[in-house]
Amino acid sequence: MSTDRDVTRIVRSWLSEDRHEDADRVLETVLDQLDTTPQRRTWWSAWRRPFMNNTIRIGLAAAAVVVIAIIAIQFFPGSNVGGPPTETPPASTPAPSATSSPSPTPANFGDYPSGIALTPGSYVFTHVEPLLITFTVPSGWEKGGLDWVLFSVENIKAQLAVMSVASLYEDPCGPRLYRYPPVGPTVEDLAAALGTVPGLTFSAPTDVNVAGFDGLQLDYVPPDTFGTCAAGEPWLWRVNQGTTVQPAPGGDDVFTVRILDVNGTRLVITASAPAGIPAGRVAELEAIIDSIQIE
Amino acid sequence: MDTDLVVRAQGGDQEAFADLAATIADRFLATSHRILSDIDLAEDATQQALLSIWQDLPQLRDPTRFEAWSYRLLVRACYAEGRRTRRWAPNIRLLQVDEPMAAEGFSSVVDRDQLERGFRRLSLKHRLVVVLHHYLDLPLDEVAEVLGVPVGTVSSRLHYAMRAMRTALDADARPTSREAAQ
Repeated sequence: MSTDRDVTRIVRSWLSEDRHEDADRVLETVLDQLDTTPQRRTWWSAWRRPFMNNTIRIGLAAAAVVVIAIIAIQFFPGSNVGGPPTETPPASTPAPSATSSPSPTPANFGDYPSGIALTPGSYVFTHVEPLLITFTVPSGWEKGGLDWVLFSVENIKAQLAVMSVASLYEDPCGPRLYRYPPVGPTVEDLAAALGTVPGLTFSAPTDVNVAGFDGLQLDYVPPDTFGTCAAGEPWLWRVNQGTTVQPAPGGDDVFTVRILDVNGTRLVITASAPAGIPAGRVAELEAIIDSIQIE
Repeated sequence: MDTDLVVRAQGGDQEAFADLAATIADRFLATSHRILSDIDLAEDATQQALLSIWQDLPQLRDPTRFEAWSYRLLVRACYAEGRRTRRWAPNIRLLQVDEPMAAEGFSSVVDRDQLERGFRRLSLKHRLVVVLHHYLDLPLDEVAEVLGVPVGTVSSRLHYAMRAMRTALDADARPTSREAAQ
């Protein structure tokens, strides 16, 4: 039986062991990105005074409250100013039951909890601002773990994801370092970069049009050559929305990447299906993509 | 911490930031490695935290508070990395999760495997208080400031974590049924 003091001593000793971490590569990668990473400056940091006394501070705060109140009354006379925010989904949102009929108005996909089976009908992704991406879902699909991921309901899932890509990893199987120099902002830049991902083969980019917007499509060509990946599951890129990554395809997966230029926003749509999913899911993925409309 | 470096980096001086980052990068990586128990995730967390520091430095009101503020960004990055593997998990393939080692190779001597196993079983929030307090030697009130929670919460998390580590060590120290039968 260990005493509390023993455990503390043991844990402290274990934590202080040298684990041979070397941050040089990480540091180098970060410093290389400074030129393309602007600092975020706030309006107050430009003019704030180092020694603002309490009277001034309280006076400014009171003035700000008055101004906000006037604006609120002016623009929202009937609203519940100062009341608690409501989380009620919009009235047009279809009830997430399997029996209701398709909604004529697209429902906000982000309003649904993860893992819920979706009523067949129209939904809208709002996560790639300022775009509204509407799509139609047949039966047998559910919301994935994120607000922009659609899964088929089987245990082994087909998947549709819509996102913008932040940065590719240098090597899906290597240290999790972002590619440097960073991938450029155009559709062609990303398509070209995908063509050089170690361990993966993609088809040559072909022209594609989704919802009236031109772009390029690349298909993963099996097999991968990762073998046993020392870094665990291979990862392809980091997504701009949230802090998530797109796992790399592998084996006999179907994995299709569509990269679109939507009025200057680079939008990426991935469709993936592992071997063994029910026949027809891949066709449904294509039908969902065909149904996409973008505003 | 050199406050002058912080102020210059706040103003956009990349050389100053490079010096600043060089002084904290190893410690950040070592800290996040211990928190996340995964060197790749730790590298990502460190990279993200350093970039966040660069981006948000102009918003730091009191440069003398840089250290606690920067740890807060590291903690945020660790939370993000810790969540990341879970949230995207039901994908075309499940992300690999490090499984605790089997009871084979049991030894009554406290060794790294036992500690590693016990530590991995802790939630991220419990690992955080253990690492911030017992590795970085931050007092509990500073840990509370970094995590943005009351000191009482830090104390209870630490108590829970250390009790869990003790339980894990004691459990591992008991012979398995197979060994007991021999």
